Amino acid sequence: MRGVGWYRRQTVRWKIFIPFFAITLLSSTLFTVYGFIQNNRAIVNEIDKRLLIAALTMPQLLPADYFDRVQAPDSIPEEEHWAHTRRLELFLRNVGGTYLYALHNVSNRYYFVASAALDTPYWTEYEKPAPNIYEVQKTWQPHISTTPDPDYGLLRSVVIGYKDSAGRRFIIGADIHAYEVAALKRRAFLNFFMMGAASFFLAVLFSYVASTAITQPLSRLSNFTRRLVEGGFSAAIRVDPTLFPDGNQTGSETAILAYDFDQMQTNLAAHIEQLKLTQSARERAESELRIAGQIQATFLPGAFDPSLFGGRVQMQAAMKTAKQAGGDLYDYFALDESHLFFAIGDVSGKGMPSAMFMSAVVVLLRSAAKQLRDPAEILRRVNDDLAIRNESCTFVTLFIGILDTLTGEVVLANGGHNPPRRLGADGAVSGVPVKTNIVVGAVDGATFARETLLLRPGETLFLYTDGVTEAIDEGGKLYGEERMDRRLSALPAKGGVPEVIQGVSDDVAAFSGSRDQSDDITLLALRYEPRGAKTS
Amino acid sequence: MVISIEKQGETAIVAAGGRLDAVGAPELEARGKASIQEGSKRLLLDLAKVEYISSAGLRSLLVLAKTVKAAGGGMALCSLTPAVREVMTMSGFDNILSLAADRSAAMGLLK
Repeated sequence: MRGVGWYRRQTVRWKIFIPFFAITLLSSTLFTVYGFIQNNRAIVNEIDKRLLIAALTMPQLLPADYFDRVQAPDSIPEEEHWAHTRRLELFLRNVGGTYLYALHNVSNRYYFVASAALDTPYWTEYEKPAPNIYEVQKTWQPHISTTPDPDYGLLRSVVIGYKDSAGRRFIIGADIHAYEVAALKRRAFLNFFMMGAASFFLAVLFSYVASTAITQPLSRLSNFTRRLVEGGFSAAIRVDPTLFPDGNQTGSETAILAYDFDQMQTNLAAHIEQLKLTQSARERAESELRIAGQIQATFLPGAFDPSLFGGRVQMQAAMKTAKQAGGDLYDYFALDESHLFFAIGDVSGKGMPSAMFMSAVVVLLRSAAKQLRDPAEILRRVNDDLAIRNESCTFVTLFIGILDTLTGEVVLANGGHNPPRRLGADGAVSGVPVKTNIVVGAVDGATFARETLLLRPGETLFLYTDGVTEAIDEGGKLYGEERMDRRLSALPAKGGVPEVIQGVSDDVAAFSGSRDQSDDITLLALRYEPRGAKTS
Repeated sequence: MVISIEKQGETAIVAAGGRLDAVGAPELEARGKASIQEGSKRLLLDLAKVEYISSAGLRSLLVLAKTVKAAGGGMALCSLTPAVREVMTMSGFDNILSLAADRSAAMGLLK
């Protein structure tokens, strides 16, 4: 398994080259070994055939009555014997054997009666016959073998039987030295080895060139991708076009890959360009929304001046928008030296459309409040102004009131807004029973009930938008009125309005945790403190 | 927001589920308007599965009511969950929209 891992880590070029190399090495070796074995067999066969021919031909090279005349140690004259020997040696040289001889057996002794290359006079005893001689003697069949001769060494030997006209038996043999056969084999082996080695090196060379040709475009492509990444996908970095000479009209995988890379790069460059445009468009939209939020903030009143109304009223408001511009609103201003107008509202939806609608609401509300001084009438006027041609059906919930700072009487009207809370001088929390009516701007001609409420000294009126009660925690649970009321009850009775605003804001923030704020949150607290005015 | 619409003659019965907020409301508004354009004269909104409604949701209901009224028809809501009914009451929408306990009662209002 380690070998597999090692192979996987190699470059593509080596991945191709290594198996190629191994297969070539194996096939060259097998070819050489197989050819060598086959050739050895052919060599031995060829030699055996020649030796057999030499043995069979020998009687024909001698006079027809030669074997008949072989009778005794002196029955062939010495001169004739040597003449035959010379002729036989010439023949043997042509055939390619080492020894050629005829043996005659007399009382279990063997005598050379004719020979070539043995340099034996007529009727010389073969004192230590090789084992194959006895074999022929027994079977009288031609016998081919590699046989160890005690005097002449290891021989490849063919021996046959022969009869003269009287039927007497002779043995004719043709031999070759085994080392001559071995030399022939060695030469053949060298030839085969050279051929195998040559084909092996040719194949290796070819596979090296082929693996280079295959991987070279790949490594150029990989160079390109590295440059592309280092260059931050710049449009200026292109694939070398010589990598895909025929464009897309080719069967070469690397050319197709290179072409696709080129297309990818073109698309990528276009996408990046598009992305930059989108990004800048989004940044522009965000900055516009931010500016809209800043403009919107100018529609809200500044911090309440506590010296107004002789210090009889404390008031503070806080707004936290979910987006840069929001749909909540609050307002307060003095109508005269003793009357304070205040309002809180929530435009349906959020973001830019709500913010624009909110601006219109604030302007209409201020102008109506200054002219009419009756909350129910003010809402009626603002409602009708908004409802005319209000195709988008955007509306606003509004809770408005006018406080007589001398008596603590509040005249109020509610346009579909969450009812406020009253915090007693002792810290007790209670609801304010007001008629809900309809939201403002939805229905032309809607009317609103006029109601009154008496604030006792030390009491606080707490107004809020539904961004508070509908704040969501990480588990998806709503903040709710109960929790808000609990938080309000837990506030110190002697605390001022900043403590009320801060207490609820902090509690909502703690409740939401890391969850994104989903709606605008607005709080407004108003404390009636006529005795505070006397002491200061 | 899960919305399914079933047609019965000239009445489109729109069953909505989920949160009818700034995300869900535009979808309900678009589907409802499409039904009116396709010829429905009456809209019956079954809000049994709506667990929450925001001011954006109320606005969409108002738009649909106005649109179907302009086409010479009407709209009714039915099967409001307590949470949705509370918002309807608080915003005064219970006075300008037709609310019914169930589908058959809503059908009666539309006739």
